[in-house]
Amino acid sequence: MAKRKKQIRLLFVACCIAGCLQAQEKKFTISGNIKDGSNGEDLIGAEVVIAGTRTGTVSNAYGYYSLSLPPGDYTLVFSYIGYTGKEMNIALAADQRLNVGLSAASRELSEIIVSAERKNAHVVKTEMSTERLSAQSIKAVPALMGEVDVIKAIQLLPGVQSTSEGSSGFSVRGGGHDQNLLLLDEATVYNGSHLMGFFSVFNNDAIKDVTLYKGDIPASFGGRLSSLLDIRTRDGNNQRYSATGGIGLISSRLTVEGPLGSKASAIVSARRTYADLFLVFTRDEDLKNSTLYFYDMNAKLNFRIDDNNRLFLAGYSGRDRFGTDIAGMAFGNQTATVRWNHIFSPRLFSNFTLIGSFYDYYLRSDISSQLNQELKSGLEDYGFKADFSYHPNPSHNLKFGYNFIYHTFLPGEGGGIGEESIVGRVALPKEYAMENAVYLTHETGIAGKLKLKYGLRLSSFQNIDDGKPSSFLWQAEPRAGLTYIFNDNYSVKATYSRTVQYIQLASNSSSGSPLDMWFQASEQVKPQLCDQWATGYFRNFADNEYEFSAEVYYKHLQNVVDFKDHANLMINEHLEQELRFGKGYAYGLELMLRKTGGPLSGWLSYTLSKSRRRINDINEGNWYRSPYDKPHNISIVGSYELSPKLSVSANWVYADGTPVTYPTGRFQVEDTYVPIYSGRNEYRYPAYHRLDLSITWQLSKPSQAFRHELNFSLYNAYGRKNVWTILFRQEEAQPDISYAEKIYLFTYIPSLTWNFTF
Amino acid sequence: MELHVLSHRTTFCAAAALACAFLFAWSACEERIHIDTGTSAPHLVVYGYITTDTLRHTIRITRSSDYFSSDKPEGISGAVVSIRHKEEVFPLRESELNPGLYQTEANVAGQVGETYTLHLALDFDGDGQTEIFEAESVLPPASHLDSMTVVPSVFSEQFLEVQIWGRLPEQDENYFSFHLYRNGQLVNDSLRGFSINNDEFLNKKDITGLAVFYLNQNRESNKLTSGDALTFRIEGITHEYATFILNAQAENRGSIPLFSAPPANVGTNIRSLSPASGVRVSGFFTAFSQNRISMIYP
Repeated sequence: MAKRKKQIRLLFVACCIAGCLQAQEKKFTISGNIKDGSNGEDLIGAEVVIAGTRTGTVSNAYGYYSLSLPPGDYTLVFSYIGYTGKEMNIALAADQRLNVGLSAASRELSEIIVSAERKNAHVVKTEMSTERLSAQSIKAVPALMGEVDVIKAIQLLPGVQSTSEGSSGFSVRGGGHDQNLLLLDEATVYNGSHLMGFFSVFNNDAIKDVTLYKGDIPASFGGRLSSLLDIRTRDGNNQRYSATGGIGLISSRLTVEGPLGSKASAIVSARRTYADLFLVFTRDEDLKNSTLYFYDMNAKLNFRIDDNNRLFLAGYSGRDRFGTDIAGMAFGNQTATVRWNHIFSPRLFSNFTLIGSFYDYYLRSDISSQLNQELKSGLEDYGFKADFSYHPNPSHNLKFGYNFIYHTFLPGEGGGIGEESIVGRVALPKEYAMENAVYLTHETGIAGKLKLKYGLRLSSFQNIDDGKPSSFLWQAEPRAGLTYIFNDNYSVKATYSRTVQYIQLASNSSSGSPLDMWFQASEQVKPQLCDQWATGYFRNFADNEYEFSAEVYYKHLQNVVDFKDHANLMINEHLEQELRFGKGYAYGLELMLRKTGGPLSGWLSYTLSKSRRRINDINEGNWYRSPYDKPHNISIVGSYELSPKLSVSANWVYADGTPVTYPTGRFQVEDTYVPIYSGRNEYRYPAYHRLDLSITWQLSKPSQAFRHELNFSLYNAYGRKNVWTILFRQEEAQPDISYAEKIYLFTYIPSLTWNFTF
Repeated sequence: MELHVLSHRTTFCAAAALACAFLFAWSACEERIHIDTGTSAPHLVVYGYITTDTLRHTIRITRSSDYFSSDKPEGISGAVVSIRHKEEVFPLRESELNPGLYQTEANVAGQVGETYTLHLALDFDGDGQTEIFEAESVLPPASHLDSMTVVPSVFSEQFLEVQIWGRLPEQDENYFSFHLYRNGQLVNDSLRGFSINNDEFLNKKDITGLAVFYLNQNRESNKLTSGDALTFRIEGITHEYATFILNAQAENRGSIPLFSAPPANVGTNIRSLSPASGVRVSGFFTAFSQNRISMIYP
């Protein structure tokens, strides 16, 4: 407690210092928005510097920048990778508004060049353990079944592992797949998967910016232990109407965008799969007339009320449906956000957000009129955020705000359907909880090359029974970071962060399923805690064309949740009886070499890591490998432009095998052998590796109004039969003989997609 | 076809099976693979039951083997085995033909509501010391069966539906194991085929035309012809035994990443009274009631 009080006191002192610094000399502020000049999209992370100095700033998530300087004449340089920089001379004698549009240096068909930031951002920025991907980079990665996917691209980054073959689940630095906060325009997405995980819910055509925080999660965000995946969608072209789309073997998509008057723009993006058409070819008669598809839609409207006020409305809705004559399943996410940007003064930027986030699933079985049953479960969130950023001068940056979420958990209801049903109905009571947080961070340059950032998030969680708060859990979540910039080309950084997770996923599978549901912390179920320390060396070469980073991290986990053997997680009123608690740790080394410019671009990454758990009643209380402990992990991603019309891409991944529990003995019951197992995760599956290739052929000239291209992708080009799972069987004819059988999902998966834009 | 008639597991199992079926139909392939899982310390394995039928009840005592061993389970001889009910003791004698198989006299029958305790003493680890083990079970009530019939299934032409009429026990929550015989041969004749159900969510105790088995007429072992004798047997089992069977079935099926929990050893109700010996035990002892009804397929 004394330690927490000390932390809070330090923050107040920091605020006072910042205020004093501002009061010391008279300054004026240049502020405004940095945009893509061709379509009006805000550029996130674009750089503004005073020519010949390192003094400057970067634009925020809404493209807004603010720079306070003493009166005088300045030359400002606006730059952004992939765009032609712009220099502007200003005579600063009063606060000044300066909106800037940058032009793309070159542009290929339908590529959305965003969020690559300034050239040496990864050296000079104070944040580390962060990966930012542009829609263009994501598009360059060869796609499974032709569907470009942000999550699949993220899984190629150091420190990130796929939970299983083809899955949209991912593990960050040894954490669980439920420990990642997925945000779409600031709304939580509770299930990021379509079609059993083969596709993610994020449509690349609608995406503007993707940032993955593997540690060093900003204090303005919280609620998950391992990572934050912050996805921002595009605002829509405010210069002209346009459409982008694609037709693939299993899905099609269309995005339409354009201006709505002089102050607004809108974008609508939708896609649908038609995988069920291929079931006609299956040998299984029951599956021939089945339903198997998903659809999703993103929509966004942005309205510039005046120079100081902007309004954004954004929504997402998606649904998966599987069904046969005797059973069916449907699930999906919906999110909605209303955001209001208000500039109180050139130095004080604010954003207020109302958030709705929903997830539900529905199951049914139609076996007979007496036994027809259904089951549904879900989760509803309503939230509010107020975020402020204050820039008293180029050396200080303060961020503070408040977050609120009201959770409604629908643990499950269901039972018999129809009058003839002999199965009763059951409904577990809804559960409610409130999550509150306030935060404050301060980033400052303390001695020229040395930058310091520190902050605190104070979060609380309250269960609500009969409309009244019944318990109160809270945590102080400090953040701190130090960056020493040797010069423009290399720096060292160190960070510490504590993260807290108040809601947990009732998931007993390693890769997650649509039927997993969330449950809340309580007096009995303590929130999970993670303390993470990381340090890294960051270096750029060859005029920033190459970026290299080496990071080491250590994570200490408390109150880790797992489930007892053979736990029952569905429609269980006493779920807490199925839980087991313990601790864990993870550490590792991540190396990354990225080439950002020229005809050849891509990256090479290597991760060396270890992750362990110790949970009461599991593995007889001994330490065991976490499900995502894969010590060696390599990704090579490359894209090469052979000619203006032809480009090729390839990626190769290698990962040590997933930890697994194998049967080492057996006993017989009722003529059937039942396994006796090794210790938890004592063995490993065979190593995983795969090569994917793609080739894109431009069918039109860049100057044409209607532009189109053909993309051919080959997933798993050398047909490696990677293990999805291993099952243990008995011979039919000789039941005393047991054997192992591996199940693999894909060998060669070719796909062809036609993309267009006009 | 397995059917969890009276449980919300039905919807989950159906949906999970559906999802897996899609996955497999769409893309999955299978291939045998060699795995070396080494050797494991042997467990004492005890499995058996006492029922309401009057007959020789059996307990089988064996030693577990390495997973990829191709040998049959090794029976353990020389154990002193008995089943106790209040002051009554039913000794079990080892079969001369089947080592490790212990049997009561032929006139033993369990009674509903009574508690039965299995007691066994043996030197399993060969250290010259006798280890003692016990397990107990209460015998649950029986269901009443009135009649049965076989009709074409409404959801698929290739299936026949076995329906029953009767009444389930009055107590709130009951667990059952369903079995079907065709001409004296058990259709669901191994653990994998056991149909375990409960009536926790059932809104009435009278059952009228409840579908209990679906017989695939394209499968030879399920195919019915006129004159076939069908017998349906319902066992009233304990919650613990139902859990044991369901867990054993799950572990026998194996782990599918999307819907399966991590592999875990199946629990047992056999407890060691000689814990210092360190002998590990697997298996189960239970008591159950049973009832039958028969018909001739027209």
